[in-house]
Formats: sequence, structure tokens, C-alpha cells
Amino acid sequence: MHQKRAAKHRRHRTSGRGQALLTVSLGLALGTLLNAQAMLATAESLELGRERDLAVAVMEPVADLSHVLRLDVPRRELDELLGREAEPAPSPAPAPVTTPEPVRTAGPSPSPSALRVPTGRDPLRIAVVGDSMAQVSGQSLVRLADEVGVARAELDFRFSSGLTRPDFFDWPRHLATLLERSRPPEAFVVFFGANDAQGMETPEGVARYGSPAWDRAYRARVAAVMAQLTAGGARVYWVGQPVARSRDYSERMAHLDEIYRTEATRHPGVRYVDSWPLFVDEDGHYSAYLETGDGLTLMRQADGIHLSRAGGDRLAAAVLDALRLDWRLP
Amino acid sequence: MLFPTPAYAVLLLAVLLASWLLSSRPRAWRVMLLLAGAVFYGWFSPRLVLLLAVSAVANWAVAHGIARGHRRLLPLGVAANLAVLAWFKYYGFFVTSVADALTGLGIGLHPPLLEVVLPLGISFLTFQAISYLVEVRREITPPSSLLDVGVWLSFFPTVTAGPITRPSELLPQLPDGTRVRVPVGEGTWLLARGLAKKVVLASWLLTEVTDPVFGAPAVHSGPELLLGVYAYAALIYLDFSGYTDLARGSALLLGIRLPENFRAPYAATSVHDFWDRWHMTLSRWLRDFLFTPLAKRSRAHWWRSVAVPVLVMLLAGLWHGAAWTFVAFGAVHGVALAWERLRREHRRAAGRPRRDTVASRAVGRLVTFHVVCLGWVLFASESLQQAWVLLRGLGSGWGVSLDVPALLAPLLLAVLVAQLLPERATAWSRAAYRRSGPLLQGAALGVALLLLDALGPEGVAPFLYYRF
Repeated sequence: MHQKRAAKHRRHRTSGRGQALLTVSLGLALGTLLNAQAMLATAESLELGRERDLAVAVMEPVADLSHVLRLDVPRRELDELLGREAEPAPSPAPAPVTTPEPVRTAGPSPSPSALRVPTGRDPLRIAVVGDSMAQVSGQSLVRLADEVGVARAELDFRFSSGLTRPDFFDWPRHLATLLERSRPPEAFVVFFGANDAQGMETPEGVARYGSPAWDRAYRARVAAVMAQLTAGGARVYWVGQPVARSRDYSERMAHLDEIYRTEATRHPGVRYVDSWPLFVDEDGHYSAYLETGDGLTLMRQADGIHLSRAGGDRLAAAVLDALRLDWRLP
Repeated sequence: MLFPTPAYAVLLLAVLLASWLLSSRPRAWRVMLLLAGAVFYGWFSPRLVLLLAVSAVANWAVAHGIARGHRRLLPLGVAANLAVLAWFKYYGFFVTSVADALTGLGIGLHPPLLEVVLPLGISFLTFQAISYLVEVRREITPPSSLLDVGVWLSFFPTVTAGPITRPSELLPQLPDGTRVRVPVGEGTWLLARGLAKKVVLASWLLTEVTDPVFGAPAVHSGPELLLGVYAYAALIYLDFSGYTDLARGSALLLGIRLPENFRAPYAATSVHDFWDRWHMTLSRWLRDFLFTPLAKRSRAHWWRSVAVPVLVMLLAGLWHGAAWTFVAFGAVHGVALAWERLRREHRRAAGRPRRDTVASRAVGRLVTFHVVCLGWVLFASESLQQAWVLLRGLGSGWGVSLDVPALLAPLLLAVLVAQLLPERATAWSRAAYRRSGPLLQGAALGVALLLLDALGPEGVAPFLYYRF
């Protein structure tokens, strides 16, 4: 009797490859139907192109089927329970198309005396915002600001985000929530761009990177964020992208930097922090290793884009120097 | 390719379909698995497949040479494997360290600093290849066909971060045309558990706690730093054991059982016990291919009890990464192991057996956990200076309010308590799941995917051990 039961258990415990295929297929099919709406949203947030088109084309009918079968209900309920209700529609894209007129050329930023003097009791409130490039350098700035004693930086970055894809992460909307605080940040350190050299949707349709339409739309979005952040009197320190290992990628980043630089000159209260020269060798080329006070030091991560801790420290020090131009910081 | 992604789900499904269709054709089944390995590994960079192919062909040829009596090929083969690892992993570390040392002596040196990109999983590949050559030399494993060596080295569940398998345990499991029994319940259970550990728990700890704490330790108070260190201990366990669950679960669905890699490591009562429970396939590799051969070289007490443990753990630290932080991590564990060994020998010589009481086990666990945490501080810090800032900061800021997520303490407690529970405490749920049929198991997997996707963050960070 005992042997029979053991044999039965063994039969239950092990089975053939067909059963493995059946079980996993069932699990994945059900999991896909239950998560269909979220997967469709993820597909829609992919970089514009064939991969996105394919993913959306696959997920749209699955999401419809999930809805018809009411299998989307548990996920919706769960999201509500977790306080993760569906993202509101992206904030309307700023009026693009026309190149913003040089309203006025930025004069010299207000002298330190025009701004309040931060103290240990009421330190300068700095917000570091941006994509994954802001992660390491932002952490360095948080530390350096703390060492300064009269400044307090908070880091608020989102992987894979930027200004081209508000459907993935809507930065203007998120920045608005920071500005609505009772004591909003007085200085914003902004580090966007690493993910931005891609197609984006505009009211006129999809603008491909490299086209004049893309330049106009992106420039308008940069200008809109600068205007949004400085409207209440905050200062903005817009960090340009550094050189990268890939020549093609570096060229794209240099193009974005030019947009940031020129827009910064058009917006009072915005300083452009040029990171490019911080990460080139004596010949002006990309180099993973650079001289520091501690000798040759690795400045970049293995992908040739992101910064190492030492790289983050170098950039944060430059940002702090830029902050010192406006604020009385030791 | 990362495990917790839709791309991997599609690959796994395609492999299971092909595995079922080719179940009576073992050669075609192997070719299919080789292709799956190439797709999985090449997903990161197609050039990686070339490295894997060269390694498979070279090690296959050397193994055949060894089997034909050319035994001197063994040191040559081991050296060649290590040279490849050294080039990719340690070139920059070596050159900058030498340049810094010479600069300190007043000798300016500007060595060529090539930026060598570290191929994913190279450390695991190297250790597997060396174990193949040694096993052939020791006649534990006969030299295999090139196809089998390729399938083993490129086996997609293990190619990026282990578990480090031996040819003698994996190659005999490749199908021979007979019907293969697949523990489907156990495989899908491991998949769900691995996803929960990685996608939900590890991701949350990484973004909410450990990244901020280790990124800027100077701005956190002592209690926050301490919780951050405990959180890192939980994170690295959840991340790496989650990866291992996914690897073992995927392999089981193909009828291949991979060795265990973790067995409640934070329940260890000594550092020696910890290494019997943590990254077990690395521990046994170090024991069999480094510790034992080195210990045999001399009968001197200091050599066996002090020098060898310290040396092996220094090398183990360096294996994890080319940085002084990893060397220091190895040193902490090496010194702890040597200390425990000396203490054991001293007790034995004095005729005092080791006390094994509830209290002594509790103290042992507490001390071991904190020694391990000291190691994690060094392991996770980007420089010795950063580690020092964190360790020094542990003593400051006590008495101020804590700025940590409210969920952190219960989560840490749950992770630690789960390690202390005996296996049988949760065995009934696993057994009940395994006994249910494919319909129920599939439904459970589907519901698990719903919960994991809802609870997990947007996007998945790579596994921590992908760096090594």
C-alpha cells in the first residue's frame, strides 16, 4: 500500500517534456492575459521603431481579448489596491514647430547677493533630476552638498527616461509635483539626454531623430522645462552630456548639448554645465581612464556611457562649482 | 538576455517546444540547446558567442590531448584559461595599480590603458573549463565530443552566472534517446520563487535602500547605515539565489538537475559553515581545485591552518572583481576562516570539545552574520575609502529619527526568519503544488506572474552577479 502510494506520488512529481511545455505555456498564457494592459503600456513605451510596432501589434489584440474575458479586472483592482492607478495622460507637449525666438539673451546670472544666503539651519534645497546618468553623479552631489554643510541635495532619477517619451515617464508633470511643495527646491540640477536621441511623437506625427522637425520639437521641450523650473524663481543647472566611447553616440550627445547650451543662454536663471571637457583626454578624445589627484582613475562604467564613482565625483564637483557662482557656499 | 523579461519567456517556450519535438533525437536536441545558448548569450553581444566557441573548441582539443597521455597539456590549458580571464578582468586593475605604486616611488609611468570590456560570465566560464580539464586528467570524466562540450559550456541557464557545474554532473544528464522524466512542479515552483526574489524583493531593496545608502553613506545616520548593510545582505542573497532558482528551474524543465547553490546561508553558525551554504558551487570549486591541492603542498601547521585559507579567500575575493575592495572582502573571510580553524585546533588540543547548545548556536549565528556583513560592506563599496566612511558612520547619529521605508524592517526580519525555519516547515506547500496537475500548476504560475508584475517595479536591473 505504502509502495503504491509512493509510486503514485512519483508519477505526480515527474512527467515528460510535453507536460513541461503544457504547464509553462498555460502559465505564460494566463500571466500574459492577466497582465495584458500593463504589457501593452510597456510595449507602447518602447523606443519608436520596428520593435515597438511589433510589440504593440502583438499586445493590442491580447489586451482586447483580456478585456473581453474580464481578465484585466484583477490587475486593475490590484493596481488600485497598491495605489498604482493608471498613469494620467502625458502632459500636453509644449507648442513645438517654431524655433523659439531668442526672447532675450541671458545676462549674467544674479549675483550671489541677490539670492538668500543658505545656512546650516536652512540649507539650500537642491533637487537632482534626470535619467540613469544622474544616478552616480547625483549620489556624489548629495554627498558633496552634505560636506558643504549649508546645502541639502535630494536625488530623483528615473531609468531610461528623458524628454522625448512623456508616455514612458512624464518629467514635466513630475517636476510640477516638486514645485508644488510648500518648500520647493531652490536649485535644480538637471541631467537629461542619454535616452533622448530617438524618435518622438509630436502633434505633426512621429519626428525621427536627426530631422529638423525633431530638433524643433526637442528644443521646445527643453525650453519648456527650463521655463517651468525657473518660473517660481528657482535656479537651474543644466548638465550637458559627456563624451561617450561610441563615436556615433557621442555625436548625438554633442548635438543635444548644443541645444541645451543655446537654450540655457535664452533662459535667465539657467546655467549650462558643460561636462564634455571633464571626460576627455589631452587630445580631446574619450578615455575611460583619466588623471586625478589619485593617479590614473577609471571614470566610466563598462558601457562607455555611464560614469564610475570617480567620474560622478568629478562631475558633481563641477556642478557644485556652478552652484557656487550663484549661491554663497563654502 | 535577462531571465525576468518577455524575451526570455519566449526563448524558454521555444526551447521547451523544441525539446518536446526532439525528445527522441538526442543529437538534434543537443544542437537545439547549443543554438539556444548562442541566442541567450549572444543577446548581450554577438561577439560573446565567438569567445564561447573558441573556449569550447580549445578546451575540447586540450582535453583530448590530455586523455591521449599528453598530461603536460593540463597546466598549459589551465594557464591559457586563466590568461584569458586575466586579460579581460584584471588588465586595467594591474596596470593602474603598478602605475600608482611607481608614482608613489617617484617614477612617472604612462602605461597603455586599453579599455578591455569584460565579457559577461567569463569568470564562471573559466572555472567550468578548468574543472573539465582537471576531471579529464583525473579520469573522472572521459573526454567528450565537441558538441557536448559546447552544450555544457553554453548551457543557457548557467552561462552567465552559474551555478558552476562539473562535466561529470551535467554531461551524463544530456538525453540519450530514452524518455526523460521532468520534475515540472519543482521546476515551475523554482521559477516562481526566483521571480519573486528578484523582481519584487531584490529590486525594491536595491532602489529604495541599498543604492541610496551605499551611494552616499556620509549623509546617513548610524542606524540608517546599519539597516542599509543588513538590507544589502538580504539583497545580495535574494538577487543571487533568485537568479539561481530561475537557472535551476529552467534546467529542470529540460530534465537537467543543476547543483544547489544556497542553503539558508544566514543560518550559518560559523564562517566556515557560511561558505558551505553560500554560493556552494564556487565553494566546492575552491575547495577541490585550490584549497586541497595547496594544503597538500606542506604539512606545516601555519601553512595549512593560516596561509592556505587566507590565500584561497584572497583569490576568491579577487575572482569577484578586480578591485582592492574585493581583496579586502576576501581578507576578512580568509582571516575569519583561519581564526576559526586555529580555535578549533586549540580546543581539540586542550581536550575541550565544541559546545553545541541553543545559546552557542545563537551567538555563533549572530557573530557570523556580522562578520559576513562586514564583508558585504567591502564587497558593495566602490572604494576602500567609501567602505571606511560607511563603517565609521555606523557609530554616529544614534538617537535621531530614522529615514527608511516602513516596510524595510519587516522584510529584513522575514528574510532572516525564513532562513532559520527548518526545510520541513514549508515542505507541505511545495509538495502540494508538485502533486497538482499541469492545469493547476499552469494556473498557479499565471496568477504568480500577475502578482509579480503588479508588485515589481518598472524594468528589471541586471543581476548583481552578472558583474563577475
